[in-house]
Amino acid sequence: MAQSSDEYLDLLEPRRNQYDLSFALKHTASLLPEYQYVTHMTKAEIRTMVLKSRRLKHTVEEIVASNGRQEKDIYAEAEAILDEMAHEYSLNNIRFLAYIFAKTFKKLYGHIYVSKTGLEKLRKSYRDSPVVLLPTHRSYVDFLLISYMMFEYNLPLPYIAAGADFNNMKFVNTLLRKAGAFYIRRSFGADKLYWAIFTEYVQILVINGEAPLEFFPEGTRSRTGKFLPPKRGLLQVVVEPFMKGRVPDISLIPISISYDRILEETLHSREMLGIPKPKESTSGLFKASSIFQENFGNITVHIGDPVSLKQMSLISGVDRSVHSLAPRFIFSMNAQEQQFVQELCLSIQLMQQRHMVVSPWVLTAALLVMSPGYQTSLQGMYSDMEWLKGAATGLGTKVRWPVGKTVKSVLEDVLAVHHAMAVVDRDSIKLNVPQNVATAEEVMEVATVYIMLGAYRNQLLPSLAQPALVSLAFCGLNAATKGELFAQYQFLVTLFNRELTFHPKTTVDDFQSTLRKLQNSSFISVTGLQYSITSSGERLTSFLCNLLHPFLLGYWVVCRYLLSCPASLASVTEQSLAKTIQKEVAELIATGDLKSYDILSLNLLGNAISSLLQLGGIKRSKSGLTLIESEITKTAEKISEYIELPASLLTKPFAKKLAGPAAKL
Amino acid sequence: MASTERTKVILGHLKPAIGGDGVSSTGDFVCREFCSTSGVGEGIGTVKCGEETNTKSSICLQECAAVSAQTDKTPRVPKIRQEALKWNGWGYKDSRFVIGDNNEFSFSGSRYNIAGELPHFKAWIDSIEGFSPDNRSQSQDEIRSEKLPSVTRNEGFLEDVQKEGISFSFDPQDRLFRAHGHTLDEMFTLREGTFERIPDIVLWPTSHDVVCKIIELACKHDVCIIPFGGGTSVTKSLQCPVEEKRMIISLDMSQMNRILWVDEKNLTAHIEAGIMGLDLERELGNYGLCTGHEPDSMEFSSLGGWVATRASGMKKNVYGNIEDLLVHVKMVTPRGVLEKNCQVPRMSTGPDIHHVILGSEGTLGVVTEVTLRVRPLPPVRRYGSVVFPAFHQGVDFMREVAKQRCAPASIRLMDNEQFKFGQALKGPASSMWTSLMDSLKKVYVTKLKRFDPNLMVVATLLFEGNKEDVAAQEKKVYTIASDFGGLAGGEDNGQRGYNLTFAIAYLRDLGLDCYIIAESFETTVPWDRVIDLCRNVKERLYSECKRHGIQYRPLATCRVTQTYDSGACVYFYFAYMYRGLTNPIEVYEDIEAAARDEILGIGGSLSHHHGVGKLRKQWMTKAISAPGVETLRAIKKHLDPQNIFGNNCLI
Repeated sequence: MAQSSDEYLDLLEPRRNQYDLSFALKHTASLLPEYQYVTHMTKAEIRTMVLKSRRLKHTVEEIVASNGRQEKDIYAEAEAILDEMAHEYSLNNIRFLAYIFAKTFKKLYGHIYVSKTGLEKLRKSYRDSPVVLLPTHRSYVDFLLISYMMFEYNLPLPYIAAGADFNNMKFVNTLLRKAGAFYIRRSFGADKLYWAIFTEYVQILVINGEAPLEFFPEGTRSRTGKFLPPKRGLLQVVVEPFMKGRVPDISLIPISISYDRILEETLHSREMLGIPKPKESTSGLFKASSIFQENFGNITVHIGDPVSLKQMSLISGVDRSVHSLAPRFIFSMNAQEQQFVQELCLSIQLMQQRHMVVSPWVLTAALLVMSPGYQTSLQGMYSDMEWLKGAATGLGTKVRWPVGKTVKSVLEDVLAVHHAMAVVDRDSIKLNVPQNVATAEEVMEVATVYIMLGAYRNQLLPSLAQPALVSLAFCGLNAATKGELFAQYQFLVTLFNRELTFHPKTTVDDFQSTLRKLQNSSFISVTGLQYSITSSGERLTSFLCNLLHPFLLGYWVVCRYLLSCPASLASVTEQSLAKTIQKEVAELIATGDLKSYDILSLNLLGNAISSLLQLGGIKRSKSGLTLIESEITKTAEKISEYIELPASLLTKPFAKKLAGPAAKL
Repeated sequence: MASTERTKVILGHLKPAIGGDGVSSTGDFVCREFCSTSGVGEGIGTVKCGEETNTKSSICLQECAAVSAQTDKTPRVPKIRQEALKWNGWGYKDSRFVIGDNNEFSFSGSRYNIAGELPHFKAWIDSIEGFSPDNRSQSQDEIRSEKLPSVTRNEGFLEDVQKEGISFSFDPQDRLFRAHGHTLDEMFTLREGTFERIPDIVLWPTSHDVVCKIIELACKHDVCIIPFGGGTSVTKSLQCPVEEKRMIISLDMSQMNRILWVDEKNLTAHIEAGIMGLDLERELGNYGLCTGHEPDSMEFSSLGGWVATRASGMKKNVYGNIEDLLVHVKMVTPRGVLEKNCQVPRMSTGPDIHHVILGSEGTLGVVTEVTLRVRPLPPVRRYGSVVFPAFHQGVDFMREVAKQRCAPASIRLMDNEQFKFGQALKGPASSMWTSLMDSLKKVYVTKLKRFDPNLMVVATLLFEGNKEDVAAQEKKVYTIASDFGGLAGGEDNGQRGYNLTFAIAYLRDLGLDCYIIAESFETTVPWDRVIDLCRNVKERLYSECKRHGIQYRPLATCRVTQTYDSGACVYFYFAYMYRGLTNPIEVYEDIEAAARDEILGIGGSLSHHHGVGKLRKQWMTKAISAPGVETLRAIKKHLDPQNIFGNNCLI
């Protein structure tokens, strides 16, 4: 995508022209936009308000009634929880961080582009209602970047909901806390006291509207380049005060952050392979300082149009008056409201997806994955990239292609950034891995780079998944009726429900509009009732099918594996099952029966298992998993309609020795 | 106290201290800080601490034109209403806001104490976005009779009515006057259009027995009856259903305006339902008594109307709402007269049948006679006010007063917009000295006490009772006020707040002359949601206006007008410049409906005292559940199987 200067500002440009110190000293409270009904509170006042809240009192009463604990003790615990949780602004601390990060970002990144109109709309929305920032989460850099950006543009620094695991990093945790981070435990499902304090604390921050709340709807960093299914918990806590009239409206701001190269790319791939992630620690952070030698390209931050919670609730027809009959300090969201929040999460995610920007490297990665043996000739790559740039852009992918640059020089640039992953060897381009792997162990050793490559390829999914599903719906045939296509499409939507983002209410519309888009670009033509792929559409549809090929193949392999297992898998969890299958896949790659390293990803295998749970192929119980053979067979057969399966796998039955994974786990 | 005295007191609301020589009450904006430790006892809340404030006695009845030539028994509103009242606007013909040649503002006539020049008014009205006195939208002069729908006649009925000698009129203007209430939609229709359906005849019954006769004839000949009291409805309840094919009778109760008896021992009075509020208080004054029921419309609304709509008076804290005042009521229904057998304060005889009558909105029958609880006239009445730095402090104060159950007869909290409007109604300063004092007070509050003039609000107070009780109550209330950051704002600010109530009804006509739409609506809400409701409804009004492409920011203002143990009544005013809209009324109704949804969404009620009528029927099932509505339907079906009372309201 051509970057015209009036659309995007470069966050780093002023920093390259001014002293970082004077920058760190700017940002004064009086210049910040302010919510019209703002309530200013110190940390101590918020603390008192939480501890004296009617909600907490109610919860404490409940706990006392249920287990007879002393009220005094519960309140003491409450104070401890709150101290662990609460943020604490310190302007000096923020200035210090601003100084450090001005230096850091300049070192790591070429440009950080920020959408100008988005920024202006954000600034305006502060007056009318409390603001909640909802960025995508691909890297730890995300929240640092956003706070830094707010500092640069004289906007209030957000309260950041951070995972309590950060709290283990001495010194750093305090630095972040003083910059507005507050810490939430990863899981506290049944802990009523924690839940009440957390709810009250977050809602006070939102209702007061002094600064925006920021959290990641995906809940954690996505390590795969895809979007994680959104978690509605925190958004539900944010939405509740609106449902009960405590705020007139809330502005939700979807933010899409696109990185050319993700700082933790290697770590992420290793995690997807099951190599445990190092615990967050301050010493670990210093060890990671070698990254300063590296080039991480550019970042694009797109600030989406503010989404008015009031408007969304009006459109959905949620009935807020149901809360008239109970006091507002008792948390309650009925089924209709929960459904609303769920759909709101998905809508926000779809908005984020629309504004993700991909680097040309993503095109390279996608093409490399599809090339036999993950390598291809340079000339082929040039022409394929040129073609893909046009085709993908036509379908809505935002490719940041440097203005006026030839594909040759662009490829040189991206290879400079991603030299650890791919290399040019004479006139061909290939992965930076040893070519000869014979055992499953060796496969796992080299797999990191393949998974990393897949993660960049996956960045195309948000914009291309819909046309890809329609392409697959042709099932390799040249023509089909609309009804046939939709039936296939619908199955794929169900199958990939965790892999891709779908809004449950727009399945038909999505299908229709994708079909229309393909038709308008003459990739598909209609004669009578028959929809057929045109000759110009063949290259595209086959590319799109190949995009999802590894997923379908992976799901099929999972089905085949399960069919070789006994029906009852006692004390097997979904996670352990995924790991067992991963080993089998590694074997198959080592023997050359399977070529696709993507299937080694625990994320893909886990999603396949979840999908089978949803389709009824697997049933979960306390004792373990039960397999329903007929359903799994059905799914496997269905998948085989879309892709050609490796002949060797079809003929070679899965060894019976794998039949008892339970014993091994 | 003599009846004339009593009338003066009531008129005091409307017109105190007009040019009383030497007794100037323009020294407003008196602010004193109250310290709860000392000096609370003396002269709290008022500049001069006169009992039954003497200034009031300077009001002369002669200055109230409509009353002046009449004896005590003559109703203030004549049988031919258009002789004294505006046909296309609010109130008396001689009373209106006037824009002078140099765009200076005044209030005409001499009925109200704001009459005369209003030097501060222009600055205020200019602050309404888009307002310009030069852009006029004039009403039509009249709706000519030929443009009105022709009479549907039921000859049998007419013959019988004539036989009974019942007073009636076919005059188109008489019929038109009774075809509407005072919603924005109805005023707009009067000014710019015409009604599709109006009553075919006006009947003026003179007694309960005559009403019984009329209902009997109506059933016999199958005609439709719409009872008419004071015509101040704001729920479209008086509008004739367009689809009504039968002859429509407007049953004008205004000639049933006698007090039939007064019982001082039991403190009750038996009254015909057509009497207007002000007439009722004037006549009870002859006995040294009062009902104390003062809805904002009391000049023009009738006793029967209060019962039929579950009215609320501003002094309900001392006297109670209409349901509390009601000892006995007769309602003539097609099935007969619905009433209790005795006049007792309470009885346990199943669900209270009075509550079938209260709020029935003319759908079941017509209220003919009422026995009300009455009270001795209070020896002392005193206004007061408290200013607060911000709205939420005022609400907290109100809540505390309600909690301690020490609310004076009336206590109201006006938001900043209404506070400013109140100031705009100040008359010219009578001397350099008062003008100087005004500025000094302003400096004291805004500079020394750092109240932000764009945030501060005022609570207006009206105390009634004997001297000691009022003094004790004042002390308590002002102490609470200071606990919540309030400064006493003086008697005049308080009184001005109540004047505003009467003025604001006239203000709409001025607005309509200048392309400004204005309307009010109200609700009740639990205390914990009062602030949220006020803020969110205003915000909803702003955002809905934006959504409808209204280019000027609307005026949205509210006041908390009643306090109860568990909640409060909130009253909203809403105005905007509608130039450029092709369908201003539809847009307005859309916005009001959105505001009502917002109110219901936060836990507010469908209505505190305006009622449902045809305007809010769509929410009734939500408000009282489906079985609730079905119950009301069953009652209707039993009492009025032919739908004689066919105004199509409520359910």
